[in-house]
Amino acid sequence: MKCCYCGATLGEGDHCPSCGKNIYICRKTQQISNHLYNEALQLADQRRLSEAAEKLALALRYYKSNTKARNLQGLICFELGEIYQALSAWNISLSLDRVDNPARDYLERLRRSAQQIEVLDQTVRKFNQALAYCRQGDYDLAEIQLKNILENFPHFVQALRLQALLEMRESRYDRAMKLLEEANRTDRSDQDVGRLMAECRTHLTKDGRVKERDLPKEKKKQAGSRRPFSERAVLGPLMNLVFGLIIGAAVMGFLVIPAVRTNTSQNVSRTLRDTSEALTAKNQQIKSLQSQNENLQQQVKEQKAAAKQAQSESSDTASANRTLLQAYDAYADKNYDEAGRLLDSIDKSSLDQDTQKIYRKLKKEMKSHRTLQNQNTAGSSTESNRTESNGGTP
Amino acid sequence: MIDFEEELRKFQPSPEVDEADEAIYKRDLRDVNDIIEELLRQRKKRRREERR
Repeated sequence: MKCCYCGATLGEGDHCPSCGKNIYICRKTQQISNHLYNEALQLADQRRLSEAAEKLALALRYYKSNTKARNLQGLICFELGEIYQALSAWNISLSLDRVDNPARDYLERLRRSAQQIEVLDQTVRKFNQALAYCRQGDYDLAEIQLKNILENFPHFVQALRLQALLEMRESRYDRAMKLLEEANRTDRSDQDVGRLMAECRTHLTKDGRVKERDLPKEKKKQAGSRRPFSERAVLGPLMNLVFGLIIGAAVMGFLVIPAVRTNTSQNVSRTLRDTSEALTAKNQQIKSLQSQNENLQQQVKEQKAAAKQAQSESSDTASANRTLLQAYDAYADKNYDEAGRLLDSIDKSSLDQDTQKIYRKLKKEMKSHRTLQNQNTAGSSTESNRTESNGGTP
Repeated sequence: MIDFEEELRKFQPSPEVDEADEAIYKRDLRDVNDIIEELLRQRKKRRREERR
């Protein structure tokens, strides 16, 4: 036992050996707190976790530094799915006593596995979301969320209780009972769970089925349409078989066989009709393809003729160009007669625009040259005539 | 007979894990000893005032 004021270990007297204060009340409160802790421990052993949690809360009211009580409180809260309270209890315990405190181990084990903390955090968030869905009236969404929670954390008593409540709302008391039993296995002293279980029992038969009056409407219909097995067995399966055979044969003779025959002939005629239609369509297709082919051949011929013409035109142009060049060459060599002859032989229409310019220029020069030559010739003949008339002297 | 709405009202949202640290500081951690000590202190103070 420790002094509440200075934390020193206490002896037998009523005063603290370290600080000298009166520790009568301190001793008494610690004794009560320890007693309550022991009771809580027994209750926890019997899985009466809610009652144990209440005792521990009281124990801590008497003596706040009872770290054993705090650690047990944390464990119980963790088991019930109240992660936040568990972490709080262990953290406070560790802050009060840092030496040989199991709370350190609990917290370290949780913190080492960051994934586990994440899962726990998600579970709490999902539960809150499910509760919000319930309050909004989205019960289907709430059920989905609660199923997710219970997959990860099957001992989450609050989630089990809420899921059971939703099942009870739909009159599925058998399912609700299973969930409540699971919650009860975790915490046998939860009064709310006990009350809901008692309510479920009033709607269930001894073998755990929902009483017919409490069945949902659809299920009632299904249940009503079924006869008990014993009755069905007595009805005479042989008679059923014979009747069945007779009816079967009659149906075959009067309905099925004629129908099959008619069906077969109809099928054959339908196939013939389809085939002839397909043949006609194919013929039409062939005809159209033939006409297309002819058109294309005609086009090919036309293209060939055009190409030939273009080729001859281009060869004419080339030969005209070549002759023009030869004429120019002869002109440059002052072989004017040859140049004139070559120019005359050129078909002007075969030349393109640029070469036509050159042609015209050359022609013009040739013309002026010829004129000059003619003038010269005329001049020289007049001179010779004058010489002849003057007796041979110029 | 269970009243669904009434039962639903009993459920409270669970505090989330990241709120735990903050809540520890806000928690009232006084025990019976603290309360008795506080009462005794107030009594002494009152007596002192009466004597004056």
